[in-house]
Amino acid sequence: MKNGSLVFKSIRSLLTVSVLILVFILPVLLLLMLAFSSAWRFPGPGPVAFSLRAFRYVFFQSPGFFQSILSSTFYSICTVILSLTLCILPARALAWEDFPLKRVVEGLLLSPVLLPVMTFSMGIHILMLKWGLTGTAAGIVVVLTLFNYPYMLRSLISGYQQFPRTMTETASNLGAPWHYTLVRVELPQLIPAIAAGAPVVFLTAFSEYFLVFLIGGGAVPSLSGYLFPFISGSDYPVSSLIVIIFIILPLLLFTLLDSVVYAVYKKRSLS
Amino acid sequence: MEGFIKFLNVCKQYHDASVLKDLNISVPLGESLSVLGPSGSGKTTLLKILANIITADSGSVVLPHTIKSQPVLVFQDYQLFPYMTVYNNIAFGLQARRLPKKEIKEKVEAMAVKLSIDNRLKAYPAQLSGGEKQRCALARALVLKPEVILLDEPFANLDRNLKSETAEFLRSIQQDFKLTMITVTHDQEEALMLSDWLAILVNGEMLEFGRAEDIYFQPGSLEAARFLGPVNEIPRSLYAYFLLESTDSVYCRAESLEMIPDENGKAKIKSKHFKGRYFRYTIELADTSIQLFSQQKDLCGGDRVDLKLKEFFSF
Amino acid sequence: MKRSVLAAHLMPLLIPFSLFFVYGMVLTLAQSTGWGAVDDYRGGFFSAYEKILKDPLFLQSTIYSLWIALASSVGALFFGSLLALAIWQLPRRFKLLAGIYRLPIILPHITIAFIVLFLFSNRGMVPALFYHWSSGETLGPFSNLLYSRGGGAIILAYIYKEAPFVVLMELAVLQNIPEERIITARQLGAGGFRIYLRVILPQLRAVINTLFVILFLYSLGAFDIPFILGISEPSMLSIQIYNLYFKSDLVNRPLVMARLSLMFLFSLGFILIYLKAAKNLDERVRKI
Repeated sequence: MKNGSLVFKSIRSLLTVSVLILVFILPVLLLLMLAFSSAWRFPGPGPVAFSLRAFRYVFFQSPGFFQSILSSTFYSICTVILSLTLCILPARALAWEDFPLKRVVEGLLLSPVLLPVMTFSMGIHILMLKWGLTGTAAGIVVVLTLFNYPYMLRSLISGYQQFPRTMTETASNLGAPWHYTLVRVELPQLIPAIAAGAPVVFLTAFSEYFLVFLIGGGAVPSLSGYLFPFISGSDYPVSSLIVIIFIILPLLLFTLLDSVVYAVYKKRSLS
Repeated sequence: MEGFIKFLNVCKQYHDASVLKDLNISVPLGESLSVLGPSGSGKTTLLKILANIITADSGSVVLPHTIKSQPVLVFQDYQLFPYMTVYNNIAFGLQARRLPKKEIKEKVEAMAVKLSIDNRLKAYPAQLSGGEKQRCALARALVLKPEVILLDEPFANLDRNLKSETAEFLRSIQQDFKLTMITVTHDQEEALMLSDWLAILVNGEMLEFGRAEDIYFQPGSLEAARFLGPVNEIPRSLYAYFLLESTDSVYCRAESLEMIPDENGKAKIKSKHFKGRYFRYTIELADTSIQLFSQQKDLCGGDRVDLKLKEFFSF
Repeated sequence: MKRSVLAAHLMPLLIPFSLFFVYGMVLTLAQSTGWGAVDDYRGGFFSAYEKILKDPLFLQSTIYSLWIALASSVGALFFGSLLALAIWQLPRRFKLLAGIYRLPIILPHITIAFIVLFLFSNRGMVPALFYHWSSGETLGPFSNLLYSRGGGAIILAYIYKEAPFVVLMELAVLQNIPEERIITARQLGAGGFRIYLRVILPQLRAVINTLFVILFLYSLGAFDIPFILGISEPSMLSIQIYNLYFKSDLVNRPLVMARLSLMFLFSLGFILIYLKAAKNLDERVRKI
């Protein structure tokens, strides 16, 4: 009986691990294989020939790659900063204060991630056209912030809920004005909350294709915009290489962020 | 120093519950006052109103004109800023006032030396001991040269055996800096160690206010008396024994009774406990149990004694 | 905080929210009636609505969109819950490896679409493997996935992207269930399935409800995946709206805005009704 359940458990673990490998690792291996090949043609299964064509093309020959990756990184970071700036005070009020209709206001402010993107995007497009924001990086940052700030808002609300309010009271009792307290006392302690919200905002902004395409109209380069023609043109090697870049880049960024936050914590003996 | 810090009819409510009810106090400047009360009696609210962190619903707090700076409150858990070094914690108020860097450095270092934490200036709060944290918080407050300092449960996060040392330290600070110090605590021993003036606050209402020794030996109410230490109620049947001629109820403190050993004494010692600085005796006298604190050590359970009342109060 | 301070705190979000979302939606609703869209609009107040509700193409793509949204959110919840449970029960030494499930969360939608494309298009890898195994006899059951009228490829892409999100959210809850509770249930003689149904699922109910609303509405109105994997007929509503907005005459603007307004009202109603139903269900379950 005991033995039987042990065998059952091992089989179950084995099954889970195989599914994980099949579903999440195998596709990446295939992408790698494609990235290192000159082309892939039915019925395969191997590539026509192994080659560094995709690498040569993307890194040396194609004009727009570095520009688009820099542009994407730039507007995504701006989106994170703008979201943080917009959300900090509302999060403070929503975490600390009780007021009539608070739940309604909170629900309303969080709703942009809940409702389908399409419903608002055309109305917003018309407004941005009117205000001259279409085709500009600023317009892209604004539209990406509009649709993604709720992730930051939610993290900051929970950050502020854990923040001891007496610390702010102490600071103001010591004579610090509110903005001084915000920057020197509250923000440093909200780093964990920001570190939870920022990657999500960054990632969704960095991944977004439709909104960037809608508001940027091709005038602002982006990595997803760079990738798109290769997908529709069925250039598997180049597409695969860019997908791999899409995996590696955020991982690098988050590892960097994690180690910075960890170092800051360790120095101050905070857990 | 002249003048008083006055609470005039101060009321405060939180979520429909009264925290402070029509509070009136006058604290003489340059003195040390302890506000004593059980938890939830509104003590911290009182300090927050004084520190201008919250405002009273009605009534007002009036500070004498001689006081130029805002009273500084040191919270129970100190609320040191965990991301800043001890140096930056102490410097915080000065930095917020945009003083020149050099001046800040001089002031912070001088204050750190005074409170003997100058060797921990580069440490972060999480690396400090309880006592060091308290001194850091005090330095952060005192560097602003306040005239009034407010302490919320200053002993709560310290080792018990550091109590009298800390009390002495806080008293010396109060004298050196010529501060008006208002402390809130729930512990009568702490309150008496720290202050010459005492206020007893229960359920947002002031029960008693005055000099500590007056309140201790001549309290205005039984509730206030009980709050400061054990009280014996003397039954009317014993008035004759104690040579009392009173129509009110008579009470006395446990240390206000004297035992005179006498084989024919009317009272009998039931038990004796060593409490350190004194012994606690439980004495039976005509079916009444009486508590007595005494330094006499040659008596023991079963001995017969007579009792003499040194001091009493009645309502 | 005083009222004015509170208002000042909320302004940084309330202003952009009203400026873009509220104003944008008002504009959408207004233009759907013809107001402000076309200079000499001839139709009546609701004529755009009348027109699209009678349009068989609109009905077809609405049903298609609802089907895709439903199938992909239910599918993601089903496979995600299964995977969450399996990962939760893995021995500790596999936990690091199991973290790989997060991969699709960091991948953009269009890259997921690409992965589905190269694996499952009729000349893709999976049909190729079937071709080899069967020595050229068959391309396997997936050979027509991309062009099926059921939207199989789109649904598959959504499930691949969203199931890991379900795993992430459910694992956070599962890790808080004390082991003793499972052991107690087992000692009381409950089997694995019964334990899942009676002990684990009630804990997950809230997160599953929220996830369903999020995933359903997301796939209903998203653009990236159907833009790459979709076919022209039937097409997803979002694609149809996009094409009408950019590729047709301004005269058709009220038709676009009427579609968007209906989508908006539907989503709003869906959230309210679903949340209310979920709340009622929860209360009934609690009574039992």
